Amino acid sequence: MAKLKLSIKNYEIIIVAVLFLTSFWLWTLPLQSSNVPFGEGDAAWQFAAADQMYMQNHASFRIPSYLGNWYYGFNTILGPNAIEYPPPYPLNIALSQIFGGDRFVSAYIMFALLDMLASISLFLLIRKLYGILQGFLAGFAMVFSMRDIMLYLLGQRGSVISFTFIPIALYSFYMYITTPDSDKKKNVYLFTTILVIASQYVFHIQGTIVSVGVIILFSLFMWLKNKKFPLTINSLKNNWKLYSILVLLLLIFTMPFLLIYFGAQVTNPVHINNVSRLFSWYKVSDQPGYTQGNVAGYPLIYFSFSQIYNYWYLPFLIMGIILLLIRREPKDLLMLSWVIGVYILIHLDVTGYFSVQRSARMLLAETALFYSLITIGIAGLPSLLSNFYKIKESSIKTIKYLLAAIFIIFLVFANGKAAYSTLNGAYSPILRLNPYQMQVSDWMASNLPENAIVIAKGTITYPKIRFMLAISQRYVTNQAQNLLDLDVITQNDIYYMLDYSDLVLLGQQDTINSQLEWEKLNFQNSTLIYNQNNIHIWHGNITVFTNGQ
Amino acid sequence: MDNKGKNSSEKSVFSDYALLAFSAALLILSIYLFGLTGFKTIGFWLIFYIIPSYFILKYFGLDSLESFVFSVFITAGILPALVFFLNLVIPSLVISAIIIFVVEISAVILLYRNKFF
Repeated sequence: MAKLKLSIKNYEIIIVAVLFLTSFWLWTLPLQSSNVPFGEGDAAWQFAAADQMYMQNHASFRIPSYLGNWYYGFNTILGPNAIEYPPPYPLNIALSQIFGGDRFVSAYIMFALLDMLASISLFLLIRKLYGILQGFLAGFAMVFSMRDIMLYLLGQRGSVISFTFIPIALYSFYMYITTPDSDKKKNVYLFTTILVIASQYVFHIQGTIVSVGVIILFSLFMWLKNKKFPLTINSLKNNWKLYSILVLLLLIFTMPFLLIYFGAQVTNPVHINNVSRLFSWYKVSDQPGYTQGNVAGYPLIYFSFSQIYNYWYLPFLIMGIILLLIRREPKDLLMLSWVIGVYILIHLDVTGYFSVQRSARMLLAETALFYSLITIGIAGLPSLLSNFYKIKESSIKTIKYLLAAIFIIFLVFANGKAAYSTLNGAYSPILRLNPYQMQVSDWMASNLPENAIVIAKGTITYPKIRFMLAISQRYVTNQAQNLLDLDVITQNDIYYMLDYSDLVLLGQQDTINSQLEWEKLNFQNSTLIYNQNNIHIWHGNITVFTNGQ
Repeated sequence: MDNKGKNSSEKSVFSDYALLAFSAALLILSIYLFGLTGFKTIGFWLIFYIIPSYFILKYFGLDSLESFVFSVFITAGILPALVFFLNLVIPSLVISAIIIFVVEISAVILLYRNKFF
């Protein structure tokens, strides 16, 4: 047996293990408390997209009508019933359902696992570029990143996953650029860069835009620094076979899914507006909804520096940027490219090209960046101070580790505590499907035709209606008027579900009574086909096409 | 790729044992949290996604940390894409995934036996 020697490489694996296991425990807390699916509408859609693959043992560009009806005609090129994400993303979840053996738990373990990966990708980047301490601090901070956690819980999981790839894509390209031509590993890094970007692309294109944008900026900086463009005509000529393979690989993994993104692309005409936003990092006080506490669908906490990070981290963040500007080594140029890239992308709404909703999602690229800068600032501050004051070498180290220890304490007791309480308290039982709603979903799956349209009234939240859609594999909705107007469905396809189960659990007797009265009035000519556990389903002669909620 | 030019820690197989220990710890945690389903789901992820690609990447000279992290990220999108492409021809996800897994394992064996690069 090989001699067991605890080298620095082994510490790296141990740190990765600590980051991974902590994240896994923390991010699966909502699943540990209950195995019923959770999240908002997007979460239900993404679960349903995977679940239909699992149920059919088949994946395709097309989706069943119960899912296609949800955003009917969303993709203007591929037409109705086209999948909205590249199939490999939900296929990850479907494969975990197949081989993990549980429709809900396996799927949600895989969702959590893919969403929590920012800590290890950032650890690799910062550890290799700046050192093990900085790497650990940045990676550890990402375990508790409230912005990522919020979107993971709400259900924009493809976006969160895609943004976790940015540090690893940057690392891979950085290694390609900085590895000498004579080293065989140089080309390996080029391959990994292409494969990481192709892999990132199948989750969400926005993350890929950040990676590619920063890579382009970094290449320009390196060009200016070395006065030599990273790619020369000679190297293209000498390595044309290699580059051809890489281009081919990229095309194989991206082209088949291109129309999924571009068919759904909502492009706004270029129109410069609100230029003053360029002079702040991300201003939301001028946006509609701000006073109501919600901007472009995001709660204000999503934009708040103090709640996503901590005001105490701000001096270190600024210090980190100052250090990068002073040193301007290749690794610093990479980080500066990231800063500039994110700044440009989160301000694209000023040009009118991006909506505020899209540019706000780009802020997901900011958390890993800011935590990197903060840790660079923490580790670099003592050395910087030693240029102005006489400080012993040993004291520099002591101050550095002291600052790191204070940062960890803050992380655990401020960010960690908030992350824990958010994840542990997320989606209490009443906000998830109750056993009666699960039961009626199973009944619908077995007893209603595949093209059935079920309008649900009384279920307390919209996401719960959509999770019934996912589980029943029938189009459960809050209204069907738009599909009737489009002639996609007929009146006979419509079923009406009166769901009192939530209201009974909440003890809302007045609402129950008024809904019972309403039911009596509206379904006199219809047939009651399901009547169990305070849930009724009517069919035939339905004349109401909305739940009024 | 042989061990020439590598430092002692890279030559050591301990980092692979460390990875094994990490995998074991993750499996134990998943059993503790989610029972048999946790074990099967994480076991599937490790066996299908991580282990074969880790050894392929390591073969090409990446260190243990790089190989592990790259294997996590590259396989997350590329492997299901391969399964998806195959599933367009073979109408079963299970069979498509098994074929891709066999190809992965064959690639590892082929690389380490024949020392292509």
